[in-house]
Amino acid sequence: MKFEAEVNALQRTPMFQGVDPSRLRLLAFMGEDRTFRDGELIVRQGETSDSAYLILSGKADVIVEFGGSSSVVAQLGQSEVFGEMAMLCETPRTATVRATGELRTLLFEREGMLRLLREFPEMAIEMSRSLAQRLERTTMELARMRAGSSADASSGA
Amino acid sequence: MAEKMTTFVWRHSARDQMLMLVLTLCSFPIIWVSLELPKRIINDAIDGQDFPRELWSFSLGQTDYLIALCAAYLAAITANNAIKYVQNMHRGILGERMLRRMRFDLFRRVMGRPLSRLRTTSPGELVQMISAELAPIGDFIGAIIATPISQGGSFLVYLAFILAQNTYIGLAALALYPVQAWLIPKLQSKVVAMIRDRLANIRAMAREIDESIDAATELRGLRARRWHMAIVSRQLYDNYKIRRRIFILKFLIKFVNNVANHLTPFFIFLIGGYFVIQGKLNIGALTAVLIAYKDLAAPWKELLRFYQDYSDMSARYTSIMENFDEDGEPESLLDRAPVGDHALELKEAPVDGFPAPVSCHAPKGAMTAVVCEDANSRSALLQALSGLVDDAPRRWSAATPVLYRAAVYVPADPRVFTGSIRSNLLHGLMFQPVERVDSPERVLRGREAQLTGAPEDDTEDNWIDAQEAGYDDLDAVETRMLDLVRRLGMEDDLYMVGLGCRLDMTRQGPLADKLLELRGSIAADPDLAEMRRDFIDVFDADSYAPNASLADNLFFGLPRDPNLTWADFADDRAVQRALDEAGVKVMLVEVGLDLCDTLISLFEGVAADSDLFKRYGLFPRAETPAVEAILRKSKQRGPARLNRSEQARMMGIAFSYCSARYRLGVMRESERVEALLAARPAVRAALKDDPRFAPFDADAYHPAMSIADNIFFGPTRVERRDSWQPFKEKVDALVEERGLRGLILRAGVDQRLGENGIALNALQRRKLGLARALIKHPSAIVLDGLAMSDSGPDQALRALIRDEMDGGAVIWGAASEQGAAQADHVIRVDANGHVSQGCGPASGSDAGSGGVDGGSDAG
Repeated sequence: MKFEAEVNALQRTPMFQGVDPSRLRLLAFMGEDRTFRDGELIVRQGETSDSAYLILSGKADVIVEFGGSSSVVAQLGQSEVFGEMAMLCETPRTATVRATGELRTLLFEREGMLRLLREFPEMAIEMSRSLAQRLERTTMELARMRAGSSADASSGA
Repeated sequence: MAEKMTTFVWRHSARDQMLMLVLTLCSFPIIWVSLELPKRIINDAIDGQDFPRELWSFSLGQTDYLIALCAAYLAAITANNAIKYVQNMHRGILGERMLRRMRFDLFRRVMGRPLSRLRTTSPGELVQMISAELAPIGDFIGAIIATPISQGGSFLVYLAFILAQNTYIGLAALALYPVQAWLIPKLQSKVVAMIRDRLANIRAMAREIDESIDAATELRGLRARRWHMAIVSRQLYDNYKIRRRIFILKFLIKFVNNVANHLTPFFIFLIGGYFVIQGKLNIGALTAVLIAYKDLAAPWKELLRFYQDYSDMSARYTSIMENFDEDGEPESLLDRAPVGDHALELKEAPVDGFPAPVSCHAPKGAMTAVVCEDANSRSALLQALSGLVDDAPRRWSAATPVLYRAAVYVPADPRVFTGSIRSNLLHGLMFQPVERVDSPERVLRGREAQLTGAPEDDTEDNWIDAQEAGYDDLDAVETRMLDLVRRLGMEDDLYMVGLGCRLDMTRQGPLADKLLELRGSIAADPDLAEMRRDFIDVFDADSYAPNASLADNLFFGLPRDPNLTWADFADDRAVQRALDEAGVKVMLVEVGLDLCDTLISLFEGVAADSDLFKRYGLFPRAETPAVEAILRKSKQRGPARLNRSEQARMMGIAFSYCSARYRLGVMRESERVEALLAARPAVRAALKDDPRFAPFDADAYHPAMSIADNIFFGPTRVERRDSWQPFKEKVDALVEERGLRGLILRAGVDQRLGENGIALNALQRRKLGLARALIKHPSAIVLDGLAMSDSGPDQALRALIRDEMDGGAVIWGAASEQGAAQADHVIRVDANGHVSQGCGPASGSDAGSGGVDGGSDAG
């Protein structure tokens, strides 16, 4: 089967779990190869761009700039997707992603992705399910953090 | 009431029509001779006695006499046809000239319509009238006098000839014509009425089509596509219905005519035969009558057709001209602007949407804001201020008498004309021709224009008066153009356009040489060469570039014609032979088959009308069934058994395949790549001398590649496309350093924009509109819908415009008082459409009410 590696990688990402492999194969075909050398930036915080990336191999740092200083907040590895928020919502990039070592990715353009979703609405449902799950986890995490900080505050008073 | 077609024809072509008439009259004696001679040949030469005969002091025996008469007959026929040839030619030319005159006159009248009326004019209907409906009229009126005279005359000559032979036969031949002459006009008048219906119907349809396309977005938004299609379908049906009735009548007329014509020989044989038996008529005369009768039918038919056409065409003509009745003679184009005390001034001018005539002005050299909440009224007033007002010479004045630089109106979404950026930017300088370019072709065009009542203005003349527009020479205009492009922030966009265009090698050879040098320097610089290897898939005679198409790799070159791709040559004999001899034809067909197979299985389940396939496939979706049939055939019988066109189809698909982009694995690792590389020298050698293709050569500028492709000499690697910015910047710096940037910008300026500048975004269009206005050096600029607020960017833009205007007045429309904060002078329109004006920004609503003043604020 063609695009086997890409389809395997896509299947491992939460966003595309449950999506039919034949659709993923088409998605992989619509994607474009992008490789980055050590230290090259893939996306820059604040930039407007509308593509998402799937990591096929290698690692990348997620860097957030805040108040003039920047710090690595996470590391991405194989089968992880980034940039999907900017792709779906056309918002500026919320972080910078920098390759650490040789990084091979697959790029998805907003337009192609939207066309694909229009074509296969069930794929959109699967994707929104996974995005909703992620939002739920984030919300719970936020609630936990708030509870924690208010507990700190009350204990400190 | 529009004038009649005949009046029009007589007014503009009396002399030519008379010439045609003379030619026609010349042909009558010759016709008579050509009828008389056969009779003489039979009765006198073949059947005669008393030889030898005396002919112009020659004594001729029977055979010689026959030869002489036959030669005379041949000469008569030749002369007759020669006259016909001259007549037809003259008729065609005259018809074309009259058509041109009618078309141009209508266009001129439409162009002269007041703007308010033009807005309600349907372009579709106009195009239909000016192009389609007029066309047959031109053809017809070329011979509006000559046809009836020549055909009627021939008819009479034949008739007289028959009567001269025998009166009774003549009367018999004539017997049925009165019946036809009575019946046919009755039927024809019905046809004319229907022709008018049909024209009205087709026009309504043109209007509908026009509207459907113009309002396409809304129409789809309303989901009313089906309804509109039903309307057009109904109009087509009505058209069919009318045409069917026309056909029935037209062919009924033809039928009546044919029957009548065929009945006549019956009488001729009967009566003529009787006279011959009785010995009152010789057989030669009867033969001559029969020949003459056969010829009589033709002019009669022509006369009938002329009559039908005449009524058709004059109905058409009247029905077209009725639409232009109101236009009358358009006002002559203004040459000079009326000069007043202010930069721009309206005096009691009627403005759309205003209850009373408007008087207001914009002072010289000042910043004037027009404050009006209602966007339509604001636009109307701004347009009026720019001089786009009816009866402009009396209602409007400006500071300079040079009309085209008196004021320029700049809307927020300016129209981008089809053409290049240059032609768009210079559009506003094309006021009138200033210098005639004399070429033989130009002289011919000028003469034709005179003959058809068109102005002699020629697009080849020089239309730009650089000195008048405040420039030293045309080069200075060019410099200002690029300067404006830079100041308005369009330079980077233009540079990109320039990089993407192909050079005209005949004109831009020196630039090509410099670009080639640049290519060499990049390869020579170790740092840049390293980057180039990383980002560019450089063309190399010994290796395969996966980022280029398969055909680029195989032929190692490009078709010279920018409109053609390699896929267009898949069916070319020379190309096929070259591939066959290189031994890769079958493999290419197989690559195509593999590609189609893979693509069809990839897109399985995608709806037929999906645009996914269009964007990502290698062949149009509509061809899928055909491609599937080819696949099936090849699976059953093998790829070698496909026919020539099927093979070409597959090869064409294979040609476009770019392995780095599509990654479909059809190259079987490197097996097929190596086969292609092995075939490359043979293919190149076979097509070496074919002028349609240009090979890649690392040491030569490639005429079919864009400037950027020539600099880099290879496609960008797909997988490195996101990271090549540093390399590009370095190369751009090198371009700048070598003074090539300006030249590339100039190349970009010459690049054709798509239809209506579709390739430009709203911001680029706006900038283009502004640059187009500023390049005129107008004495006043009127901004409608741009730079209208007091935000930072808008203020900056106004400052920039003021700077570029160099002392000219700037007028802008503002929706609120805030937008007028920086104005020296403010014209206010209240909710009721009352206009007041005053100096400086207002602090309250009453500020402007009494402040109508004259020259105090001028300057």
